[in-house]
Amino acid sequence: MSAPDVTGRELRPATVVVERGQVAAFATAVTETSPVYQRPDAAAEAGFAGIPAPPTFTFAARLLAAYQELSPEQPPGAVDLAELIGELRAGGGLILHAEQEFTYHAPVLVGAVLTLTGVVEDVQVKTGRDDRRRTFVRVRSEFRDEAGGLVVTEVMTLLHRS
Amino acid sequence: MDEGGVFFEDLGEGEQAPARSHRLTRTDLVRYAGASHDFNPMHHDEVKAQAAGMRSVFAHGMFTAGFLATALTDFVGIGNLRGYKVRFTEQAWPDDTLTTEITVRGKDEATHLVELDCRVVTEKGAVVLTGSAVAAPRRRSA
Repeated sequence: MSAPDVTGRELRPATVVVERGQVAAFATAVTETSPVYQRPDAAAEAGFAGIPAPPTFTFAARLLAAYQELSPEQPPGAVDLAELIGELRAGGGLILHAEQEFTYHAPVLVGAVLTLTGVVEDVQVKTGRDDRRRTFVRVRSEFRDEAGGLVVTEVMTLLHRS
Repeated sequence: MDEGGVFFEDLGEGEQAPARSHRLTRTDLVRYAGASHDFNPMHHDEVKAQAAGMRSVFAHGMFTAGFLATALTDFVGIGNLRGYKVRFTEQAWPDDTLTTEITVRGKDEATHLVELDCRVVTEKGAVVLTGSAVAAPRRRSA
């Protein structure tokens, strides 16, 4: 059986705070040794107005840095990512993270307060040569600053294998 | 090391970035789990990973994506990525040596953007992920 059609499902919006310690630890965890991610003077010397976050930091920020009391009102029917995955897997099968895409509109700097929203924008079912159905679920997330300006767009593709 | 990365003018189609290599340890997986709060036990709990049919714990896909992003920003300069896309193809296991491969696919003289093809391979020839990136490297003339 294939995964349910969850097109249009919204992810719970969340507000994240980009913190120095978390950015420094994340940079170290992805084997990044540049002082730009560790020290304000090195970041300033590199031309940044604050310590920047590494390119894939926002993907983790949802789990790492969201504060409930800052987060916007939840739209009815919105789910978190774990609930979405649970729904896709309700009839069995396996969920894999197939693809991840980032578009960078502005730097993510320590101190930023970003609000992220997400929506399932596309669900496609493909039948392989082995006759097993594979469902690709594309989730688009937007990270915006306090003025509403777009900072990062992410597209995550989940694969459900029956 | 020069933190600013390559100059746009110096890049040519087909040119390769310096490779970055890293021998994966279980400590890397635990460190990434802690830094990302992704505590899926497949990445840190050997007992659960083997119970699920895996030969051991294996790297988070986003660890390898982050490792490749580090190689990309080494090359084009921190803050100069405009887009980055990866497709996860195989698992990376402890003791695998991961190596990045980054090639300039094209450059646009009007927008001053470069397109890069990139992937991460192991010493055994496994392709862990493939991807592409768009960057705006610094310019001599700017």
